[in-house]
Amino acid sequence: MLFNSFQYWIFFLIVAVLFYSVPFRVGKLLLLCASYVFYMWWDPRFIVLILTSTVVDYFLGILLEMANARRKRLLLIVSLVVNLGFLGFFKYYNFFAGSLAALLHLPESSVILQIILPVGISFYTFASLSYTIDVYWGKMKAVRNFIDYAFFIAFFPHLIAGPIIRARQFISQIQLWRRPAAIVVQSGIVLILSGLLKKTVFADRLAVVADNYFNDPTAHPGWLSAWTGGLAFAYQVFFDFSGYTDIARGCAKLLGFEFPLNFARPGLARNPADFWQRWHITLSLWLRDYLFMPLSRLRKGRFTLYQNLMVVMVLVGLWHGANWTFVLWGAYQGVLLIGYRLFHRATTGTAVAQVMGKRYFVPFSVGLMSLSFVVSTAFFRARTLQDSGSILSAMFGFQHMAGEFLLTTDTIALLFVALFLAVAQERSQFIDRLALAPARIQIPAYACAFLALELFPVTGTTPFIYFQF
Amino acid sequence: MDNFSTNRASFCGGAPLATSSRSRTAYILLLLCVICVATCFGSPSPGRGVVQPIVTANGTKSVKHPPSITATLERQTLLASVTVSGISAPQVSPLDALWQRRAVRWVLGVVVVAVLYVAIYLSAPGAIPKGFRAEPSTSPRQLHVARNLLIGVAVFTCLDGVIFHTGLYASILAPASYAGRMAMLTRAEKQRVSSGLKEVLVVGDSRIAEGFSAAAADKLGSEAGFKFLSVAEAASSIDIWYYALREVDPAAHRYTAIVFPMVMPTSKPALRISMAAPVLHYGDCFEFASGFEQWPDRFRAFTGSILRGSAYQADIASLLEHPFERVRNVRLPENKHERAAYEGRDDDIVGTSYNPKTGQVTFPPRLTEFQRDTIRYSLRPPSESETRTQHLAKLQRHWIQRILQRYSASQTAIILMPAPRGPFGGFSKLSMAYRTFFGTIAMNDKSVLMLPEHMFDFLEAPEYYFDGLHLNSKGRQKFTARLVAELVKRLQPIDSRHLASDPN
Repeated sequence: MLFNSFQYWIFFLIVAVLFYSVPFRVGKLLLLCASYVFYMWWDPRFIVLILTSTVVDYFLGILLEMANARRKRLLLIVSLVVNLGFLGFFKYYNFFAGSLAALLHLPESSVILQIILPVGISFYTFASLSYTIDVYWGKMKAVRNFIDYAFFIAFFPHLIAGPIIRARQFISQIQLWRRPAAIVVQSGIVLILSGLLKKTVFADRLAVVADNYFNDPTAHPGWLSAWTGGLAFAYQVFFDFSGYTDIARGCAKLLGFEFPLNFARPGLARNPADFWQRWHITLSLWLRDYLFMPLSRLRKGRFTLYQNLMVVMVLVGLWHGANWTFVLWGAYQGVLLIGYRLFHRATTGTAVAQVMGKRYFVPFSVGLMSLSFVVSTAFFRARTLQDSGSILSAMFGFQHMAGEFLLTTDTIALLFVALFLAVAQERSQFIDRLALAPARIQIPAYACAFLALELFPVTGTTPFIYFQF
Repeated sequence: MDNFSTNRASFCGGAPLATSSRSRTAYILLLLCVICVATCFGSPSPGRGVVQPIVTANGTKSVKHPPSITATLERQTLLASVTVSGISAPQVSPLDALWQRRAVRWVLGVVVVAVLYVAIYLSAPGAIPKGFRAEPSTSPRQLHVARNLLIGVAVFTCLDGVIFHTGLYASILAPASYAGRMAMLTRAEKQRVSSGLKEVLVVGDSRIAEGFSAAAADKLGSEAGFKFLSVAEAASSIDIWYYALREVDPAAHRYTAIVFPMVMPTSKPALRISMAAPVLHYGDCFEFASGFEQWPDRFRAFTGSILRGSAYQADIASLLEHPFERVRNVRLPENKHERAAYEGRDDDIVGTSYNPKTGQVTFPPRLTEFQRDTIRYSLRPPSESETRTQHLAKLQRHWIQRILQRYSASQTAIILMPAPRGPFGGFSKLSMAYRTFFGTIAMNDKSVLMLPEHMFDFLEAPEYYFDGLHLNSKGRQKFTARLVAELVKRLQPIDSRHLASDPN
């Protein structure tokens, strides 16, 4: 059941109507059941995993709260082993086993298992882990109500592809739930419409260009093909994922819940650090709080800091997918972050830093950051390392030919429209404020959004990219 | 990684809604540049290297289009391989010519960079933000969420109605698309002034569109006082024929006879929806949608009937991609006369042999892969599952009944004819039960005439076909002549009764 499918909206409508027609205590149970139905829609077998993870972490949370320091650590290890064990087995077993077999010159078929990757496992594992770690650190009390905890893990808008929510933010929303105010409902509608537009109009149309290039990069040699194909994918993945997040946040708002912001115009980032504050915010915050900070507390020093940064970014890459291309993508992001920190440190207080801080220089910083993100698509989207190499050599002119300009008129127009909207949103929250706008602005805006959704989607329902992660 | 937080509390006291007038001007300039740059920079989809069919040519044979092949890709393949004597006219648009100049490209490059620079400059009034505001959570005044949303939906529905239900958009549909051709055909037929003769309308799919020539039929039947017309179009199915008939014959008494082929509708749902769109009404939403097997298709058909724009998505994308070319194509005078001038394809598949015992087909080397594929397809036994066959039979039965119902009080005779099957007989994709059904209709309803099932068997030879399904010009002549002779013979007595009561 995809967010951009007819079935989902029928499902959502039924669930919302039933939810509001019963008291919240029953409604909560209903939402939990609906979430499990939603999850089982993909594959009923997956429910076993999510239920196991939920039950284990629920009891571990209670035990963690009561245990002494030594036992606490043991219980936390159990939680990490169970959650990361599931994730590791289902998502990474074949990758590591296959890589090891290749290293030892063993036939791959002897170690590879027929494993189906359960959808959303990376997202709910991180949500669940955040709970046990927070209880371990004493940042929150253990949840005593099993329904509340199960609801936090399985609530369908975030279940498949985030945003990654934290127990300490969400449990209180369940306990203090109130009917959403009109402005929240209005914002939810605006978010849903904006998410659907991002996915069906922008992402799916850019996907035509990106797929054309990345499905067979050797068929489109030359730097122009590589850069235009990469640009199309860079924006496709942004619109796809941020569209999903918008719909998820919008649906949650309509049901009276708040999800954190996950994207904040990453195309306008001025440097790698700024980029990671704008791109997949809930993941970068999770990694900062539960991985980077603990690692930094263990050992101090500049070299250790860079080392930790690299470890975190490689894990970010690996989180995205079990493939060496993703590992390299993470490492590339790590290199960018470390490089930026070194550069920043070297230039602080100099004339270079002064010039870079000026407003007229911002477009150059943004341009450079965007180009470096487009380069990263050579790792992110390529199917094999050979493809990555071929795309990179094309991008940097080693193929000694220009190639084709792959962007079509409509994709160029979309990119400019996106830029215009991003600038307006960055300056004055133009889109968010539609929820507050008077009827004379809101009604035409709704009509235009519906018209765009009617006329411009690419035919057919295409899955979201982040579902595979 | 630096600290990062959303700051909802500070939202209401946040940045002012109004932007400065200087920024607003810059935004307008930015939008204008978007239009200019997008039009000039875009490469024709799906890529510049695609072979485009030459649709016009100077020479003795003038414009030559095969009007009806079963799918767009197939149509393009065939159009691309049409051999036309004479010199093809170079079709370079002024914009393309402009684009080919190096200086223009450089200027546009600079404009793009300038636009990007201004846009990003505007987006960054100060230092790097340390946090981003989430959506507003409080409102200074009362909001009317449901009211605004409902009015928004109503405005959108009205806009869709004005643009797509009034025929405004149908008049600029791509003339080469199936929907465009359907719209053009029905519009032309609707606007046609009555000839005063006994008019016989032939409907059907690609096999009839390729096989039947209304112009040739007119010559043959004019002596007997008949005028032949055709709204047969490739990929059309029986439900579309019904809606097309309703469009061209609203009072249901315009024609002496309407001729239908006995075929199974097999076009793809998306194509069927877009093709039917120009002739659908709001009230058709349930009936049209119920003719689809899968629920997603039913939903698409339902929305396509009400929100017509959704049925034209591909056409709109193509219009936005090449707006000037579309306007030029729509205005081409050839569009109106193309069908009348079309004489059929000259190619044949002579040299192809088929052994029914072994199922072996041998092709002469000159045949294209497409021709070979259609021949193989025509010889393949029906592969549709039982459920699918039942669904198709049910669909056919429903629409035949609807057509009969529509003409039950009229003097118009309904004639069912066998469709030309293929160069080797092949399978008509018509199950036995289905044949029985047609027979029953003819027996039960005396106003229905059923032409002999084997009347076109003499055409089952490679010399009369240009692929595995469609007749060539030679076959077209023979088919038309045979059909006209049969119709004139059968319609004479019926028609004398009809004319006695019909003032037209």
